[in-house]
Amino acid sequence: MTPNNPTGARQWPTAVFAIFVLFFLLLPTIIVVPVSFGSEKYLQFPPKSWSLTWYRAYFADQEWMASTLFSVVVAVCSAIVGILITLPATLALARGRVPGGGLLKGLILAPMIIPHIVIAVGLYITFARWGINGTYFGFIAAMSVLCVPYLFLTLSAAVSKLDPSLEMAAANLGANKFNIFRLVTVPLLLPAIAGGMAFAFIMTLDEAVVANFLSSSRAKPIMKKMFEDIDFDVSPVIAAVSTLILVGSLALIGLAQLFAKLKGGGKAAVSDGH
Amino acid sequence: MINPAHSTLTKVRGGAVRVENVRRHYGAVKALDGVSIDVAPGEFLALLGPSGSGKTTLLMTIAGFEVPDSGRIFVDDVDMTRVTPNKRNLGMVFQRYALFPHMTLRDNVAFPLRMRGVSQVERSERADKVLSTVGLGGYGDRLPAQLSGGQQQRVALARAIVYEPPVLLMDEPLSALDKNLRERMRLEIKQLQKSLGITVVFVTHDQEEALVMADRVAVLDQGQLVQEGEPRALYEQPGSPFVAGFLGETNFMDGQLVETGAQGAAIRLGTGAVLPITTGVGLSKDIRLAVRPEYITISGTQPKGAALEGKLQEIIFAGSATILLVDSGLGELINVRVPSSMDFTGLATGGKVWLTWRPDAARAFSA
Amino acid sequence: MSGATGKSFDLKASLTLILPVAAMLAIFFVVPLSTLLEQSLFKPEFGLSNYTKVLTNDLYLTILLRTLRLSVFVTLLTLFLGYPVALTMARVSNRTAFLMAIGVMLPLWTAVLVRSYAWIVLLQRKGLVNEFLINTGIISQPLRMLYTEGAVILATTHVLLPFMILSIYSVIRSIPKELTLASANLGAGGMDTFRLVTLPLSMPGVYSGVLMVFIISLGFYITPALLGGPETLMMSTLIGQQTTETLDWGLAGALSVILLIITLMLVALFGRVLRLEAKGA
Repeated sequence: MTPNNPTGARQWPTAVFAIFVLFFLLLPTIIVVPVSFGSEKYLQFPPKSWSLTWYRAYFADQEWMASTLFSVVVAVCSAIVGILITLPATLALARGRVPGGGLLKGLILAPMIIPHIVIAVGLYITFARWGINGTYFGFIAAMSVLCVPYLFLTLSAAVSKLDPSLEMAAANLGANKFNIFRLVTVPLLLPAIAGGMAFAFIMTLDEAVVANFLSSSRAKPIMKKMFEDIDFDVSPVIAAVSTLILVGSLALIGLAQLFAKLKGGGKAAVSDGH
Repeated sequence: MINPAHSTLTKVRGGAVRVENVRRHYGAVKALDGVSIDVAPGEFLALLGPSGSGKTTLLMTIAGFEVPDSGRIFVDDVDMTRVTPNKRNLGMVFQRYALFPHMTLRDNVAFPLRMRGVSQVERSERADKVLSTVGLGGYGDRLPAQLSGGQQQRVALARAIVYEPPVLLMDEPLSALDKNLRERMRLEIKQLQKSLGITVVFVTHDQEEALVMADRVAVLDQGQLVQEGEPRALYEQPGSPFVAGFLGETNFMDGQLVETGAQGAAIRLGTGAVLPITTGVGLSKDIRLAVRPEYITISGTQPKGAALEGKLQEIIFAGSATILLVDSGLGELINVRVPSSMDFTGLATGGKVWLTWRPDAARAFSA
Repeated sequence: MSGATGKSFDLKASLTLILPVAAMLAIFFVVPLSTLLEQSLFKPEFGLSNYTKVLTNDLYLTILLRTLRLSVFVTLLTLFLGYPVALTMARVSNRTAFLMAIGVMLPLWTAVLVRSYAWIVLLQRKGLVNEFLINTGIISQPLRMLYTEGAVILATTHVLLPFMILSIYSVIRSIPKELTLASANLGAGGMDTFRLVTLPLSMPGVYSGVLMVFIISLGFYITPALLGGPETLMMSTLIGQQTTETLDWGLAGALSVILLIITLMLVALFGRVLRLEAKGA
């Protein structure tokens, strides 16, 4: 009998089942990693022998590299554009007077709620009319909009945790609105901004539905190329690319978390004595 | 601790503050309902009142974070009413200090100087000097999160005075500190203020704090200025039952006004007891008497003359004072406060006691 | 409280600040959606022909029903698999729960396409599952598992499972421990405490999880597209097909609008559930 199990009842059946489910969850997620190190031309687990063949194949392939470049540029730009348009709006909605603010919030959150297939197809048709399918511009615009809801939620949470008296103090001490924003608000929001941008980057990189419809032969994000290649030939190169994306994403998140911890100077002292 | 002698700040001629008929309504709620008050240069004014009284709203209006619906704010005869907060040049200490967590103490204190275009070298120097004044010399490189509450409070103070503003506004700055520290800080802030000559407007809900620190106290209730004056005057001659009850402890007794001819007036209490009061002038038939616990004399033997009889319910030891609760049949128990050094023979719980007080130690109000 | 900061933005400033995001959303989100609506109503000619086609034609109704059916299966599966995980996470020590949470969230940080691809690796003829089944003698010939409904259900369940687990876990975690202690003190055994205390109090998390998983699986595209075959066509893949292959944008628009309406109705329901949950908290 423990506080977690006051009746001393048998809990291990549930726990064992839970372990199996977790295994079910994790196996497919990490299986791409060992598969990517295989040496044979087909997907093999466990690999007969370990090699970096498929990683070399990835880096040597023109198309893969072109796709990677395209994806990374789009992801970086979307994260930047996303923050640039969402941060001011978040502050305005939190602190300002926005007529129909509730409506705007609904609109901001909508891309998160509406199925991506619907958004993708709508964008495809619209972009076809405007002639911007398969362009950097089209992709960045579309992806930025998709990131807005997540950026908004992250930033809103951080803004609501901001102590309003800090900005009041800055004003009292002589700072005008711009200086308050520059010297107090943004530094304090930096962890949320960094985290949001990291998330937006990963989200854009991973977004396959929209990528599938807006691509062209010249502008093909990684996810689109993967999608095509899986259909044609299930080569282990895809496993290698997947592994690289997985590791890269985790590294990026880790960095953002680290950054947030370092800059997390927002808590007052606990003890009181002198 | 704060050492005014170490201060390198020049003795400022404190600014005068004039609040002229300020009104601020939030819909149906009257946060400020026509408040007017003057603060003389170098004066320490306490704004005292319960929550919702408008004291913080008034402070925020002076600081510029609230714009009144009507009325004006003057600092040294300059109309500040519509001036944005960052241009008012007033010092302010917030309730939870509002130190910038991402800046060192030095950068925090130097911030206003930076806003005023002071060079990096000079403002670091001045910041360090003021930090020494508040007893935190050498702490310049620390971050606020590394300090205790008391230390943070001193940094907030340092930051508010480093640019030598004419007026210092303080929003319940001591409320987050524990009792001993609070009492110590009261005296230190007071000393600092005197040595600098700065005008202070200090918001508090703690009447003891107001009485100890202020040159003048303004009592607010429900958006109105109820009474203002020197602490002692307010305490001994409260203008209303509210002020009498809010400042210090008070016993209230209801009764009827009785004219006793040439000798003055008296009050007939519900139990029939008749006790003298100073005067009946300006009072209605129904009156309420306010007597402070420390002005009541209690005895186990019946004295000559008018006295209030009762039964001693309880004796409560409270350190240097002892509180005796007496049931006089008036509804609520009477609170009597005596020094613990008093001789308690003849006083036992359950026994009969008699209460007396000097008529001029009690105040009568129209009920 | 807006007056109190002295930093709040007046109307003009506020409008300037929201302009960029509003403009972007209008051009790259609202316009595409209204284009779909327009196409559905105007192509091939003005009218509701596309909608009647979808709602009366057997082929499309089958697809709609299939989508609903698969989504229900996925939801039930995630609930069945996920609840015990959430329960266990709430029972173990903080440190273990943290590790388990990482295990649950790791798949979330992996692209859906990658996870679906992993299922191809597992379910193909020479894949891990078949190898395992043959080696253990359960079957003698490799099973054809890919491009079937089963594969789609399995993979979608796998992808959406973390959402269900986290939804339920966050609610169970907030149940005060004292309640189970009190229940035991009053004489209830393990099963009874679970049935009468934990389970009812965990329901808000169950409702949220169920709605969330159901809504997402209705519109899910990648997994059915990759792992499904011609007999497993769902609304999402049908929409994709009509847009890029058949180029029947009117029909694609109508299908999208219908999917959208169903989704929004469910989201409204979800919002209701959240509000009720908050009231009861």
